[in-house]
Amino acid sequence: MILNIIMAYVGSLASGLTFNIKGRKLVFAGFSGMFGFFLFSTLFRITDHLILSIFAGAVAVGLYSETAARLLKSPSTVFSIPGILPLVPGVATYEMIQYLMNNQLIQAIGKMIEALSGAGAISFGILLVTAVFRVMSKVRRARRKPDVR
Amino acid sequence: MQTTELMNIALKAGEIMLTSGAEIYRVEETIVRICNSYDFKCESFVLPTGIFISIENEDGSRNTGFRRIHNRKVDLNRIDSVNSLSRSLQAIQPVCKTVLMKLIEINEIRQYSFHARIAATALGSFSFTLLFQGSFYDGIAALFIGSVSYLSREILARMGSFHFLENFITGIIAGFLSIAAYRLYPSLNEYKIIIGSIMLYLPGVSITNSIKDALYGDLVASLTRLGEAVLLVTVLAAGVGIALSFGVR
Repeated sequence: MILNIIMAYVGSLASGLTFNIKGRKLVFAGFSGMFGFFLFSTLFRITDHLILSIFAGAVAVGLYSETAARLLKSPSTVFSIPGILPLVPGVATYEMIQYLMNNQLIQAIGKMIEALSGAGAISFGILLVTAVFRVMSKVRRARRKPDVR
Repeated sequence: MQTTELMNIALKAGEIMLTSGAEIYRVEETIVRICNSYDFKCESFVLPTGIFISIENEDGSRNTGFRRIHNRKVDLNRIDSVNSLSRSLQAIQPVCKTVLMKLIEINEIRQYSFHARIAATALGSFSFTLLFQGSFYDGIAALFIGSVSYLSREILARMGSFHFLENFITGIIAGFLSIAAYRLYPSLNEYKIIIGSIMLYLPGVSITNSIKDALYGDLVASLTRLGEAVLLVTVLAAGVGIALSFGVR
């Protein structure tokens, strides 16, 4: 378990380096993947529900990256792009290819739906958090300047 | 401040951001922010493949500029630098030349060295293999396969190939090498190795940007990037699939 979490950190850090994130931000980009994966694996062990766990992990990554973006003054994608990588349904995608190659089309469809809904859960998790943060910052800006125009 | 000079700055800033893989709304916002900090009214319209800017002069006439974007390479550091430069312009407005110099400087910041990137890819493949419950030896195999596939990718990129071909070749190489490793040492788990070594090439950037673009109402860009992501995954999967169909029988 602890090994997995460390590996999630290293994986996000390594992918962040290939996207050319520099300095202190690279260290924090690694934590993004770590938090997301920690929540994902804990929830997956309790509920055994893959898509729900991926969604929760993506929400954690989204929350972390929006907060870190505001604290470190850089775009939130710097933290969310490396962060979602440990959650990506790679196993399902691979098994889909394998079933396709063995001509087992029904099983391939099943795995394809699993992979697609995993990707959808990641997207929706990030989208939800970004939307909430965007509405919050709009409200705050409107309050600061009550008579714009 | 001349409108043409301002146009050059705005186009350059937009070009750097878009070629580094920024979201559409961020590019548009940055261009408008740069123009507004010099007290010019400005409209920008950005597509994934081009930038249109129209700046209003004091007498009401308009200057319009356009730049075509051909290739994109993800570089989050550049996006970050241009973003913070445009924010700093709101406080103090330096002369046009200094801003342009700064932008050229940002454009020429080196990436991490080739050795560092290949080491990072190898380490990433290792850790993703372990993350998917592969054994330590699977991880070691993925370490080598990840670095070989990154090396071939880099060679292809220097030959001037395009993104889709790179992903296809990566898939084929990762698949064949993993099956070869499995044939040599049957205790290895070839599918954990394949997943670990292709994980870093999944189009995370395209998917994330596509979501954000959709959220900000840039539907054209959102669908374009979603299509890009689907194509990249398909091509990678096709590469792995070809290797598997040769290896299994």
